[in-house]
Amino acid sequence: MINAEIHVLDIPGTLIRSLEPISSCGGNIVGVVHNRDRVIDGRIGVNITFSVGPDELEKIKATWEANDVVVARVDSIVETHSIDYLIIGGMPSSAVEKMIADSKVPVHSLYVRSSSGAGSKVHTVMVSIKAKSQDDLRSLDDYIGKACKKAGAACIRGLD
Amino acid sequence: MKVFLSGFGTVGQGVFEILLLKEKYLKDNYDASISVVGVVDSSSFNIDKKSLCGFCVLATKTNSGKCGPNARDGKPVTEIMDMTDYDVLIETSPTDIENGGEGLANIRHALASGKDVVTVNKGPLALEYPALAKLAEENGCILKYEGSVGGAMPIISLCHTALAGQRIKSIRGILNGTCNYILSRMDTGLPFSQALREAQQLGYAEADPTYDIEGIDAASKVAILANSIFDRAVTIRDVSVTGITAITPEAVAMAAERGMVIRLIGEVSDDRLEVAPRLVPKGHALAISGTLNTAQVLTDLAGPITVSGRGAGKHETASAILSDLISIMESRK
Ligand SMILES: NC(=O)c1ccc[n+]([C@@H]2O[C@H](COP(=O)([O-])OP(=O)(O)OC[C@H]3O[C@@H](n4cnc5c(N)ncnc54)[C@H](OP(=O)(O)O)[C@@H]3O)[C@@H](O)[C@H]2O)c1
Repeated sequence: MINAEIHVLDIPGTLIRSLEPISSCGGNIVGVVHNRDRVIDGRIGVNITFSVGPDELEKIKATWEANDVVVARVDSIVETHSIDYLIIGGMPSSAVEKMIADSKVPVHSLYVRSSSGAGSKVHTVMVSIKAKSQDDLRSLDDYIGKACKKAGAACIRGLD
Repeated sequence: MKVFLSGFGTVGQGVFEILLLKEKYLKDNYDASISVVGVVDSSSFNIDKKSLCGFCVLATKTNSGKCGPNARDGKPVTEIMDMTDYDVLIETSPTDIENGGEGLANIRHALASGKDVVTVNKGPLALEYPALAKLAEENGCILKYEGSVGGAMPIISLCHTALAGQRIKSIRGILNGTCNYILSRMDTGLPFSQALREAQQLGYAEADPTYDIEGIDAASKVAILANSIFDRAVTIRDVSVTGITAITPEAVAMAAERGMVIRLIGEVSDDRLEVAPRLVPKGHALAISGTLNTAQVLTDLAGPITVSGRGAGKHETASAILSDLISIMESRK
């Protein structure tokens, strides 16, 4: 998925024309947001979210530039799937982080927060995980479930 | 239609009361009447081949603790059932989740004798659903059990009737009001033991709350849904069960910091059969507080459908039995 910020001349028809290179390359436009209230140097900003193959993206950029469309920014958006866990007992946050690393499942982002109950033997750890696919999350879920059981910790899963 | 009532406690008495209350309604809307021709409790029974007087039986039970003049003297319920002619057995005796108890024997006996059955007793279904469904089919009988999952919450008929034609991908639900009450009270900072004591004082939890708080009651409902809605031949022993006893106030507070609550969720799908505490975002249909039961059915065409209702109670559970009885009456016309 691609998110692009372009600036087009504020003339009727230019907005539609700026989208044409995407559809003619077989791309799929998911969202378009334009801001008519802010005209800078006679141009308005248009934010487009679309999916397209990597070769086509270069063609689209070239077509825009050839047609006096200013390409301010092009980012790729990684689609992620997330799940939360609360792990009660047995495992400090370092052990939880190690458990996730040991699973060998690729993780896009990881948030781990431990309870502040200093001195308490019962650790409570909140974990939020983002992965690139549901399959990765499922493998991780399996691994975490078994590892928590082995460590005698209660594992409360989020609704996936 | 003649019915035989096995069990005459909260639900059994509720059924008799509702049949009295709805006598005119049944006559006006279905041109039919439902007569109770036999009642049995743990120590006594009462039979009238034409129709028992509801007010009399209810008063006798209130005054003497017995439903009738005849002592059971160790007689099995099946023997008493054979003393009268009936069309439908209503099974409301206590749930036995280890081996099905007398309720299982009663249901088997009724079906084998060609009688229809309405049960709210979960044990027989959670243990022997496939065999009972087969027995019913072989004998041309109808087996109904709306009240066994979620009391007054009409989840079974919703899936079988209103959602006909759709593929049901999963059902997730709060299937035990006692646990939900305890967890809702923990949301306000109470520790587990105090929330449990409060639930017991209010009559929401039994003196021995094991079946509720260990997730066993919810698991029996998950097993029933898996068989009935997903055509999976499973028993309660196939359900992965985790109760709520390990949940600490600290865990509840950490969930709240992230905008979530902890709820005991039963989940059935083609590849999952589970009861476990789960993190539920606040505002989600399953993040409700209190004793209500709620289920979210995920369908292929309509997306999520949510149904909610009182999971227990005299007239609430009896209402599910009444709707099963009317459905049988309509099918037998
Ligand atoms: N309460 C609810 O709201 C609710 C909701 C859904 C499902 N259910 C299910 O419905 C059933 C009845 O619940 P309840 O609340 O009515 O229970 P209850 O108040 O304890 O009543 C049970 C009744 O069964 C009788 N009984 C005991 N052993 C028996 C036996 N071996 N054979 C025949 N009768 C026997 C008892 O006799 P005595 O009167 O002599 O003790 C009593 O009349 C249970 O299976 C329960 O899980 C209840």
